[in-house]
Amino acid sequence: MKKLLLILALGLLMIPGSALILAQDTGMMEPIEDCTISFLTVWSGEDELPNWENMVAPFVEATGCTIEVESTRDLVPVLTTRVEAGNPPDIAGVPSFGAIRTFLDQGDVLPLDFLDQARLQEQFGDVWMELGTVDDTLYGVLPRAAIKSLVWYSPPAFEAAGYTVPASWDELLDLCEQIVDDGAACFSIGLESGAASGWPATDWLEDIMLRTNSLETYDAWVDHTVSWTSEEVTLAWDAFGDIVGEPDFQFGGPDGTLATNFGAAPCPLFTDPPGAYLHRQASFIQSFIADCPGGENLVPGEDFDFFLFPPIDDQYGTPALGSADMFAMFNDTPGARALMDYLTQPEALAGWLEGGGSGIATNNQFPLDLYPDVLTQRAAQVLQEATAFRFDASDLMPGDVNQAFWSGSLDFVQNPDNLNSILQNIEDVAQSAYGAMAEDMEAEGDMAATEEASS
Amino acid sequence: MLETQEDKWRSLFFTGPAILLLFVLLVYPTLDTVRLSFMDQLGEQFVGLDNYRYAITSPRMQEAFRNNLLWLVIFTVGTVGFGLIVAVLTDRVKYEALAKSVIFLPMAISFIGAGVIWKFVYDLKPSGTPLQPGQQIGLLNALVTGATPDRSLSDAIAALNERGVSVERQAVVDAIIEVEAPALDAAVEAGDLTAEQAKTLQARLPAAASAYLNGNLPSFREPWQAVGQWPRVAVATINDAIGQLPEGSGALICGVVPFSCIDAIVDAEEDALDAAVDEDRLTSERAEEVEDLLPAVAAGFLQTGQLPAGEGWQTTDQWADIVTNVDSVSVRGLNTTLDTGAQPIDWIRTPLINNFALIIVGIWIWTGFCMVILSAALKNIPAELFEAARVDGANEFQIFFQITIPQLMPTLTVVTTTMLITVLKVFDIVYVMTAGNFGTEVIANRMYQEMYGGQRQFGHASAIAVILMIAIIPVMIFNVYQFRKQEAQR
Amino acid sequence: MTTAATVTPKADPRVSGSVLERTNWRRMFERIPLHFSVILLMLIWIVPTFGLLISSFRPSQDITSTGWWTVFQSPLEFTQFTLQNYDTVLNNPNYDMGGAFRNSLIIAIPATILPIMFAASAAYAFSWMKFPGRQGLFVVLVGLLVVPLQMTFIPVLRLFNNLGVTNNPNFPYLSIWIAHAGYGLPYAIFLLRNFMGSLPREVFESAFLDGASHFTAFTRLALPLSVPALASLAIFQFLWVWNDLLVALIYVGGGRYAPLTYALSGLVNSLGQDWHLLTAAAFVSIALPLIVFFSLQRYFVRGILAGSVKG
Repeated sequence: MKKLLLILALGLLMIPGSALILAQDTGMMEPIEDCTISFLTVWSGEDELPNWENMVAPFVEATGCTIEVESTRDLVPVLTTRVEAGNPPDIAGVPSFGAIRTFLDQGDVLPLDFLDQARLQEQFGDVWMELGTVDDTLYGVLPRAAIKSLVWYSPPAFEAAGYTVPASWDELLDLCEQIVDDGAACFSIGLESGAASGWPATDWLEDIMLRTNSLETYDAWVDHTVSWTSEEVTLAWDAFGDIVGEPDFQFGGPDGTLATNFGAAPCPLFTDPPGAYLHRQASFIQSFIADCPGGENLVPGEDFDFFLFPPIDDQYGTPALGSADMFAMFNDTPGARALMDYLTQPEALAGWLEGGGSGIATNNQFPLDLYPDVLTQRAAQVLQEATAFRFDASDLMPGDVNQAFWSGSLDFVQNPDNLNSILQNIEDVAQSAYGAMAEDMEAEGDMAATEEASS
Repeated sequence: MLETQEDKWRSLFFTGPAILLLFVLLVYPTLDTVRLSFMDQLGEQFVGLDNYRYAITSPRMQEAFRNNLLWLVIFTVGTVGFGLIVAVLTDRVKYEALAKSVIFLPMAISFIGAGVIWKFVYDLKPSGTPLQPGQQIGLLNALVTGATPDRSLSDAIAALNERGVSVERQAVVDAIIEVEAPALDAAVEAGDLTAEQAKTLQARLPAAASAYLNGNLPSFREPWQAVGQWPRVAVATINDAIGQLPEGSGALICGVVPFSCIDAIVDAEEDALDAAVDEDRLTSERAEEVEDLLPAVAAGFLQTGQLPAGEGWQTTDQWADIVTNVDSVSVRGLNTTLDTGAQPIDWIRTPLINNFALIIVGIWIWTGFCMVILSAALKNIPAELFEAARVDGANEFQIFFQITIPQLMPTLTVVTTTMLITVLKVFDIVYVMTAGNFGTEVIANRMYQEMYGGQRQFGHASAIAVILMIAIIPVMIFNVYQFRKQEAQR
Repeated sequence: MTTAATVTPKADPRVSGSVLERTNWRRMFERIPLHFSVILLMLIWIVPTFGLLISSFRPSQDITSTGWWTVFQSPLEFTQFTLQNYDTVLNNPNYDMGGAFRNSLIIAIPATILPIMFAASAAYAFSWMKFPGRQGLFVVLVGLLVVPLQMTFIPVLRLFNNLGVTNNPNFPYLSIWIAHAGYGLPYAIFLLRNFMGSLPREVFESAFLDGASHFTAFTRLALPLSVPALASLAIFQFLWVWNDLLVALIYVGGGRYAPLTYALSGLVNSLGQDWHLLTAAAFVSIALPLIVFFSLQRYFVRGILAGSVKG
């Protein structure tokens, strides 16, 4: 009798428990009537949109929603116009966080309170939750990331030339000297990227900042509590100058660095003999390597591999630098809510990867074996296991500072001797940008105070 | 003209739709813009002339003002000038329709197309090294590098032979064949090549190797297997020949490939400097200074035998010996020595040149427009004027300057003012090709960036827009003045 | 008293002489510089576009590694050419090119006709009707040429949204038709006013004396006489609308109503990969404008007046 009661009690306990589990698994995946979701994105071309469709296929099937995709490279202008004019898209996918920070600050973006905050906190951890949170409210979700602190190389080429992977910055510089003596270039760097030219150089600088300063200093730099002309920042640029100030270190010299499109930059590593031996770039570059001449035959992990950007000052170790896509909601509809929830599910990214897309899931419940190859798995592990992780600084900065950062890095490659004036320039832009923001916050504070006083 | 009462109301009927559309689409936004130019970023607080102050003093805006001025002069003169010349010239040939269509064609191409088209003209690829030359895909840089190519291995071999180092050209060619032929066979075995392909390549190999010595890397479309090793192999053969020289023949080598000797000196000196710093015999600052001076000093030593003065130099007493003992050339040394050709030019990213490069694109697009309008007016000049002048014996230039231009003056004014307005608003070309970077900033691009660049600086953008509009007003006033003159004549 | 001087006209060898005499060598010789200049100009203008044409038929690996002129080193080697780029563009799985083409037509045709219609009637009024503020109004309307378009998007779109003009499932193109109609007006009025104003007065005066109304004068006289100017304007406006991307993006957006320029810009992914497809895309996009241009180009070549003052 007692046994029966026990079993009954256990059984009763199981029911709510199982309901919880069920709820977690299916999220909000029920059929929704008359559901059309408008989605604005920069994704286009042969791969990105099909990957997206693969990714949301389960969602579309379960809910019966139609997702109308609008894609444009001019996402921020179009989004700005639509928001201001009163017909924003339901959901927008933004590659750069800083670009829509203004939207967040002004409340055009809707809070995501309806999502299961506890589950999200557990599955995404502080880092990713913080990035989408403003004033303790979640506004954005970031399901897909790339890790950036990777240096790519060709193991066969290294072996043939007798090189070893450097374990520190000094060893890296020595390796560069050796490579140059042997007749090749050390790094292949490509900064050309249309209106965004210079962004790979900002990644370099961010990695170096993380390795020459504490995490607090890095954060202060992003917030502009540390100025661009400070000693810490200048030292980081100097270190970068150790590479880009040496014409021989770069494939094609500084001219090559400036003129080469970032997507074509890894290719000199795979010619015979190699034009260069190292390429510092984020994990997404893998799909570009396949586009290099002869690239389709290269096997990840065997013909090309990566090592973590080496430490510079041992006390700061090797934090991981990364970036991610952010999704934000602008119209509150059942369909939009359901889609936002779907994007935070553990296996959401599976469809994207299946189609050949690159990226790493930020959700720590994502099964590692769903990654297409060894290298991506390793990158994912690095991301999950990084003791310290920081988001790409330029993505977090206001739009015009970001732009000044890009342009400044281009100037630096052209004229390494002008470092001080370059930094001063960025500093000036930052002061007016952050100054404006501070004024806004002050104004808001004043208004709030006045309201309070008068109520 | 009969003035009737009904004219006043009828005119409303005729002009009404236009007025309504223009008010909604252009007048209302302009008024709104002017209002916003005095407000803060979000359009909430009045800030007086702050935005204007920003617009006038910000460095990128000042750069934009300068550039717009440059565009103003060159673009306008270019489009109107070429438009006029083309109109006049094509008027006199039988294939007029074809010629005019060709000149007008760029106006029919979208900006995406124009961007790609001019990429194929301005593109820059790293030029590679003399022994591993790169290929340009941009037309201009192909011309620049092709017109003054680097020296080739053949040149180096010839120079060595002149100095009594007997390097047989054929030996080098054979060495290349020796490395490529087996690689081709191996590829056939591995299944990367068909036997047919291999056979064709084997047959072409001697010619290709010889061409390589003359500085022409074989076509990338041909599946050669070991091209990357050709430089190494060639240099190794050369070194074999050099090895036949008696010891101490370094001076000979330095005469032909000076950089191998400079490298030797630099390496020795740098090692010694490192040791000196380690042993505290030298400060690292002084060591750095010496290292910076080293290449130039070594080159000077080779030429004149002069040793550097000053402290810190570690191995100067050994330099003469080092030079004498050089017994081989390196790939790097050879590359540096032969690199005498022109470097490709970065048309898009080099300040000043890039502005002209962009303006040329603009002229290429808009000349057709001017040509069309001017050509129409040209055909309306009574033929008798020209005939009479020709009969009087005037030559073409006199006709052009004394008849054509005066007759076209009104149309020239219309076209010029249209171009001035277009050029002040120029945006697409700059946005697509440089986004305003590298010193190519223009006013309309600044306005766009301020408005949509993510910071939503509506106040700034509006002030810039107002300044732009004000800048164009003098042109409009001139236009109106012309218009009034015409009205008076009617 | 005048003496009539008898002048015997010299026999004109050009008419009656032998072939050698008849050929005006001097004139031909003088024309060499002319032909040379024209052909040189033509070459300079066409070479860049020609390079694009060649590139559009080359495989993507070739486009990004060697210059397009290298195809002439072995012009008969047909393996170096391919239709792959055109195939990818036209049969693109992500974008319905045929539909986008149709959308471009649906947008461009009214967007060309409307502003010309409204501009023509306004130009007529400014030329041949008298009403107070005529000159001032003309100056203001044409003065609107100075307005940069980007500044108008937000206020206008906001207004359209409030009026329900945009995203209207019954009239999805209404907003862009109105937008282009408005944007094209200042220049159209400017050009047509100049043209119509220079038409012969007598024609109109006699018409009015005969009792014709303004409406009749407009439709029976002004319009037919202005056909060349209208045709030129039509070409300019059509080209501008057909090649436009930004205005379409703002007023129509992406999705099933988007024009060809939108679909073509989507060929390149957000990181800029596959830009080689743009070589073929540019020519796909230019096909129709070329047809339009060539069918109307006689108005250019015959050179009928498009906006100058007759002497």
